[in-house]
Amino acid sequence: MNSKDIKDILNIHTEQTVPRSSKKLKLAKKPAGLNRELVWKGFESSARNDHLQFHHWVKQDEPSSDYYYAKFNSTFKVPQLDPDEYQSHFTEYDWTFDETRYLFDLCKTFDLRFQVIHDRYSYSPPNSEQQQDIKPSLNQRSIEDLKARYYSIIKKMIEIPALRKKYNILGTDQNSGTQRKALALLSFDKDKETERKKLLEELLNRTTEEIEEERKLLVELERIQTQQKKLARERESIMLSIVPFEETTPSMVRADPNAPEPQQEKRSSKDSFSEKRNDGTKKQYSDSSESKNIINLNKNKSLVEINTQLVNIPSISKSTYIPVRDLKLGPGAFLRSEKITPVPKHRVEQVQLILDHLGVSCSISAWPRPFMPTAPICDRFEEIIQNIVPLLELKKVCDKTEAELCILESRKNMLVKEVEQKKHDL
Amino acid sequence: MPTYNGDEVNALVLDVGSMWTRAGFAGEESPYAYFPTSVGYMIDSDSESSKNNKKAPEQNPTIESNNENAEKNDSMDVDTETNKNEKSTNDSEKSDTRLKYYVGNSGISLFRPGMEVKNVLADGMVDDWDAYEKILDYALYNQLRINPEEHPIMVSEASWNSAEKREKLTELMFEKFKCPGFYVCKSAVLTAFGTGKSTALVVDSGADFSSAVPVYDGYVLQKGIVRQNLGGNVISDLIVDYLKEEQNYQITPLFEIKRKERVEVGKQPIFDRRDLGGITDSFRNYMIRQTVLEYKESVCQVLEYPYDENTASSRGNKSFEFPDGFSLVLGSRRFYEPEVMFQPNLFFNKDRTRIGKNLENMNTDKNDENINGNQNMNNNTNLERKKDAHEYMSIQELAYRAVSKCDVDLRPHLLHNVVLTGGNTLFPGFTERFSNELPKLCQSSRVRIHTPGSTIDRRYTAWLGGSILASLGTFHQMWISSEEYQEQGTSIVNKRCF
Repeated sequence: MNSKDIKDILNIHTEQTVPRSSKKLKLAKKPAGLNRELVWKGFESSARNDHLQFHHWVKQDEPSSDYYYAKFNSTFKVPQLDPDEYQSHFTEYDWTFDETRYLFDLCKTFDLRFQVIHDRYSYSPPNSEQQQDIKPSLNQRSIEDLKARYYSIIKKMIEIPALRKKYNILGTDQNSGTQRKALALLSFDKDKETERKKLLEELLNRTTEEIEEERKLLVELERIQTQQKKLARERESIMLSIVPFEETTPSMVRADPNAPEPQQEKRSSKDSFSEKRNDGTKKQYSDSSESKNIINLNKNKSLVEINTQLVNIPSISKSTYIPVRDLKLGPGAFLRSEKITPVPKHRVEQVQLILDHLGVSCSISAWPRPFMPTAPICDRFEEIIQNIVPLLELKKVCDKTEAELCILESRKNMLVKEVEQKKHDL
Repeated sequence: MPTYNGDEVNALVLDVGSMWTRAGFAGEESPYAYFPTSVGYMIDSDSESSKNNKKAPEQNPTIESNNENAEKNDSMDVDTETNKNEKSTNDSEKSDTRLKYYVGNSGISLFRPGMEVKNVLADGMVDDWDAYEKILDYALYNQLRINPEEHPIMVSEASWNSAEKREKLTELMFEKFKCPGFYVCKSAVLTAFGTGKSTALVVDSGADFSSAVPVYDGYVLQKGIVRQNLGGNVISDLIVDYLKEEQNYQITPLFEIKRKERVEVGKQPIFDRRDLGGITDSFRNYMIRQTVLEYKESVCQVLEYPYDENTASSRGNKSFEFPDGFSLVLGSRRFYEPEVMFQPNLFFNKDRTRIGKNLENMNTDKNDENINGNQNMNNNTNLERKKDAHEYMSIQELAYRAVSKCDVDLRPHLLHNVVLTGGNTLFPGFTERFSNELPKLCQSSRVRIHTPGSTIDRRYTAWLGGSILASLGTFHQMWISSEEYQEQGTSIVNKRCF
């Protein structure tokens, strides 16, 4: 911008109209199409209802069109209520036509900002004698009351065909799909809203202690969850190391340790519960102490102590009763079939033979175990094994004794023969 | 220009606060004029003699410039300008009410025999319309130096302004100033806009009162407004009382001092008084208040945590010298008086009377009690009980109560957008303390406090919001035009400006 521009803008016309030649050259260099001249120009806006004229700077050669910002003047259309229609369609207990119209006026003024509408809502009936009985509730209309009233009327305007045509709320789009969508959007459940706000209020009004407790519980939950993941991982790696790969079905390994177990098992293990009690092993001790903990947890509604033992609760609380055979339980979760009494290595083949003979199908890895290790099957299996193994032992003893007997008998025979020979010699 | 949605229509923005008035051009980032809202006046018995009187004090330039400094005027340019303008002010004044008004920094801070000082606003609303008119006169003709007939004018108002006063203001703007367009906007809304928010809880602590105003989408929620007359002036009074009772000292304002001597810290001052006749009480009080203001700006602070003698004394000393030479070295005391904003029950009884003299003894017990009280404040019944007793509330309680009055859906938004503004919040540490105290009352939602970055900006956040609003292209349709005023009368203001 040079001095000439400034003079131009300020409408100062000096007599010195003939510029020096050097200046003229400079001006000629100005790129074509770039016009920086601004003028102070009056304008009106179509967004206004009157002819208020303000001035602003515009480019000189700009065509004078409507005010640039007028197009942003979007207003919300709130339908005007008709008294006759009100009588036939929109009447509602404790609302009058005047008050409804007042509400609709406010909706228009504040573009459906119900927070503000509720804030400024101060309707007083023109004839207090008629509405004496309604009056007390008037001042206490909640934001939900206002919303419910407004949306129920708009909804009716869409639902009732005659009104739909008149108010044309949906605009040109009249198909049933849009109508359904609009109705869904307009359905305002006052009770649900009130309930929601009540709950939200409670949430906001929590005391410091409650918030602190909630925070602690969340930390605890997170700890338990990570612990569970860790346990599952550990179990997986142990299973992989003891069970040959092809026999490890993934569903078995990854099974959620907390998954509810069949009711059956509980019953069967209940039977053996009294037996277990007498055992007095370490496992039982920890079990009872922890189940006590569970009871404590349920009773105690206030602060939960941070307690490492809690971590083990889920796995125990679900399988409340530990079957009798689980004498050598280690920490954490386990496979039921793992706990079947192992068969001594040198007996495995024989046991297998007998099982085959009995028609019991099982897998042979380190030791025989059922394919489907449910609690009853395991118990039966255990029972069979418990019978087979002593049977084999007995058979072995028997064989040995028989062999000895044979030897002794042959020796006896030999001795008898010797004695008879000596008698004969004598 | 459409890129940033602004359109310069040369609008003017006037923000008349209870202590300071800001005036300037919309679209600019700071107000052009910044001067006290109080006016000086005297009975205009003889215009000639009053003019002579006016000239007499001007011969002593040192006093005047000192006064100007005390008021933290922005630059010397403005000072000289106001001096020049003052003459024209006086010339343009009409003696129809037989009162002569003196407006602006030099108008009010200058000693004139018989001149009284009064505040134009009471409780944030216009109290004295003649004086208010003079303020507008001064801002438009003497400071901005424009012809109001050529500019649309936006004026701020208190959020609780009455419909009648707005109508009267509309009448004044169109009938007297004949502006082509006019709009009146709540200052809380403007403050929110000035911080770049449309929904906010505006916590404003000024000289006269403190208020918490919820703003939703650019509208003030009237039912949520909470305010009380506990503000900067109360702190000033506490300081004056402290000086009187414990230091046995009464402030002598600068204009009365002819000569002073250097004295040791804490010793009574030795000075000579100027031989002046016709000092009014209101003028002296105003000048004393200015001195206390300077004291507050120089030494006072707020602790981040509830007041504690030991912590406060560990923060180091500051010294302050009063105009008459009396000087003090202040340690923990610097933190004591502003504490009234956060623990009013340290200073006031439940009926708003001052707690007895032996403040120091009660200090510790009271402190403990209050800490307990803070913890119980979640309890709504506790709040209700306090409200009945007309007790002073702490500023955080003020904010919390305003939030509680709003719809539950809105509360988290408001608490997340708390805007702190007003001259009384300018104490160092005030914002930090407020950010520490408010979350204690509403544990379950996140609280974020927004304050304009620099303390200078915080003096005119509301004006800035007005500047932004009035320069928006889309605001064009909001102005009340003189044509509309002619058609519909003053009532239009209550239909247009919410």
